[in-house]
Amino acid sequence: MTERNDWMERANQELEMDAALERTQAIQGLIRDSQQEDVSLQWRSQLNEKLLAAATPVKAKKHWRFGRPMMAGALACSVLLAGFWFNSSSKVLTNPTPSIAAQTVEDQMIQAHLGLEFAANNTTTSGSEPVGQATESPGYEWGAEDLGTL
Amino acid sequence: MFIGAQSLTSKNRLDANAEQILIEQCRKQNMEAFGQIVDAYQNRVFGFVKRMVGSAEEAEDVAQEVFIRAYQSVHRFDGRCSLRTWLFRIAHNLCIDVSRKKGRQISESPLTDSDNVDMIEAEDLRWNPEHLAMNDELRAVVERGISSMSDKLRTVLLLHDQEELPYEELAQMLELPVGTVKSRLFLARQHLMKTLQEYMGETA
Repeated sequence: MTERNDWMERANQELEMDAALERTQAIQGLIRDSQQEDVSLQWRSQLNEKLLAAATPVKAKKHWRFGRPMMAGALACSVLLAGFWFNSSSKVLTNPTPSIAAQTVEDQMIQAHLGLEFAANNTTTSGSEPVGQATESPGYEWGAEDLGTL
Repeated sequence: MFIGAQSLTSKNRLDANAEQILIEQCRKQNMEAFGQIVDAYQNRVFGFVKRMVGSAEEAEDVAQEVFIRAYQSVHRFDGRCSLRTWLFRIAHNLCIDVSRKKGRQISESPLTDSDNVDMIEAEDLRWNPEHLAMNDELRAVVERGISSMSDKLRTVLLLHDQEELPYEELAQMLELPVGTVKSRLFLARQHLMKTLQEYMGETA
């Protein structure tokens, strides 16, 4: 019962308030007809400058959002390439002969080439002297007799 | 994307479709579209802010800040209220911040007890807008009446009677019950009527 009374009271207050607002409606006309404030062109120009300044970081952020994964990707590629290069260099230094473990055709070709190069550089005639040095051994000395027979 | 002049109503307001298109463009960081929103609302936002902060210079800065904030947060505008309400909410919040920084007390008025307020007979013909020729002197009186009321009453009066925001949107914006919005509006009008009554008593 009291709840219903409260509700009735609130409804009455609301109706009274609506009626009071209706009575003071004329004021709305006065407010509407009151002075209209216009902003200056200078104000607008300043606002445009501020908006451009505010927009710039947004664009930079947008680029950075895509730039960050790209940079991370590039860094990862660099690390992989460096690792691959390091491994290749180590193999050349430590194991110049063809390896059975070589899996791909390219690997096999590289290994074969390196093996041939190594063999060409290190093969000797006597087993102890390099081939290149054998050609530099002292040649036959031509004597006067020999020259006379010609 | 340019919204033509036909999309602007007589009071330089954007219609709902144009507003929606412009907001979509603004979300894509289209400065030109946002410029059209500024064109439609700049004078009204400035007028509201000026009456709230009381100084033209300060109002210029605050009004610019309103549009900068709007531009920066347009992607968060969810369309639950109109663009106009959203802009005035930003403006209202910034004006409240300015008041707080100034250390101005937002005075509490008796907001619901209208029995204590002397009722002014508003049906008197003198209150008819046709009889109240709006001359400069009367405008000054109205401005004085508006500036002398509390921020709470002024906000409701300007947003309802000047900007024609409906009670429900005002209640949502100010986080108040609709009944409180109505009573604040009534008190604000009463305050203004008293000011005008004094002016009329002086001139009679």
